[in-house]
Amino acid sequence: MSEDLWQHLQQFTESAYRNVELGAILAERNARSLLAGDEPACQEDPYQGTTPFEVIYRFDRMRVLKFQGDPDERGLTPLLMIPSLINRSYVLDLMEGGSLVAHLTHNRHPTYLLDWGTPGPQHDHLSFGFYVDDLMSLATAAVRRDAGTDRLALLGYCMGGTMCLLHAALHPAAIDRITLLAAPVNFHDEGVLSKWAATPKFDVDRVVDTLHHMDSLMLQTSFLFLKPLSAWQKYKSLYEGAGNPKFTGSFVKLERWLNDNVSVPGELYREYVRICYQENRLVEGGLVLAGKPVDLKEITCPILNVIASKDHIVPIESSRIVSTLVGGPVREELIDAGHIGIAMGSKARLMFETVLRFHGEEASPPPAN
Amino acid sequence: MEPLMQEFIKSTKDIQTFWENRFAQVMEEMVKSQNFVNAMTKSLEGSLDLRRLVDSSMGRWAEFYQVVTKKDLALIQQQMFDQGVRMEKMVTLLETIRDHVVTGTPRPAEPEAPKAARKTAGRGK
Repeated sequence: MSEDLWQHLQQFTESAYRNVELGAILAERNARSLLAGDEPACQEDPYQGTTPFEVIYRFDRMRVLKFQGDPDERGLTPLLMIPSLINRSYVLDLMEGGSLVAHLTHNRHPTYLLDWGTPGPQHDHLSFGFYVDDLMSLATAAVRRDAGTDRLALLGYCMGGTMCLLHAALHPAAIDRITLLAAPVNFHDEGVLSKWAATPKFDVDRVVDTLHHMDSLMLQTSFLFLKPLSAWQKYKSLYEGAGNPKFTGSFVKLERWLNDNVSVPGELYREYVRICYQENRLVEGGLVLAGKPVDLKEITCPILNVIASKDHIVPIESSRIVSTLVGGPVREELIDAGHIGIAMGSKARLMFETVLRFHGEEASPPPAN
Repeated sequence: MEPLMQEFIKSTKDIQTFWENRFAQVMEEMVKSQNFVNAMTKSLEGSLDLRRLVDSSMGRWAEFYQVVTKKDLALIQQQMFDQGVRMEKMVTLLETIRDHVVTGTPRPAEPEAPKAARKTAGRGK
């Protein structure tokens, strides 16, 4: 009994030591980001993904990254990944060898990523329509030029998925196929975000007119409030898994990404909240972006809709509705994971293979007109 | 003695997990409630009003002393950004035309070009 007690004590001390060590790493990262002043306008953010890449196009702070791998000789349509605007783009390339980007590159699929960069005050006047139409068009043109093709495929995660749909509706001839990962489409759902943002009491004009942008700290705090006890549960699981270096390594990487948010330009935030959350224009219709009417029925290319069954940010029904709104075939894949678990980790591996197969299929015929 | 202790630890853990989950559920319901939304928006409005007050005082002070503010610089940067976008669109269009001329195959001109530039492209064909 006394030996067991001694062993337990040793284990406890060991795990406490590891926790303190991890805590110190996280605290140092947070302190550094807090103490760092405003970065100079010309400074470029380092991409923090794990797969080697080259920059094939840059405009202002936006970059298009091409992932390096063995060249493809099968003539596959290039795939451009569109991440959300409120998080960093390396979420799809976070875990070494265990990410969607790594899987596609390993299988010689021509893969590109749109890195939005960090917006500054000079971007506060840019609308959601400008990002969806103009900036995405610059990026898709760069990919097509680099790959030497007329069309390309899009993959959008979360808000990036919504943007992919809207861009494809505006430029159907240029898009071969689309994959949506946990993409919100119906914004009047049972989710907490919808309940908060759709309420008439939330005055988005007041927020934007005062702050000129949506601060990353405010966004992060509101995401923490979606599941108030999640922080406690997260650190409890860290304490329990402190003896597993693989788990702690993934934990630190994920925490780094979760705490590495970006502020959203004011006019973009105003337009996004209004047309999506308050007016639900993607479902209700009558959507106009950058002065152009948007009709999702214009999308006739195949769509792979990957939905997370335990998603607390984008409920299943919010994403599933896409099949009734577009003009092309929609394939649905339900993954038993949460909003982040759908993009990385063990449960996402099923999705990696599905996405690879979907994008390896023969190119779809271009729209009639 | 040891199995008894282990059983005791296990049941304590189960009870703890049960209450944790229950508490998490209650909290998640709470953040969905209208009362919470009202309280949150009210506190947000208060802090926004305060920020606006500070900003307008600073703005008046800067105007009085003829000081250039961050806002003025941001407006100039925004105009420069807009000019950059126009230039970039023209460059993209020219590159598309160049590719078309080099390869001799028609390619869609994207993103949409300014009207004048599009006319020129049409004449080229």
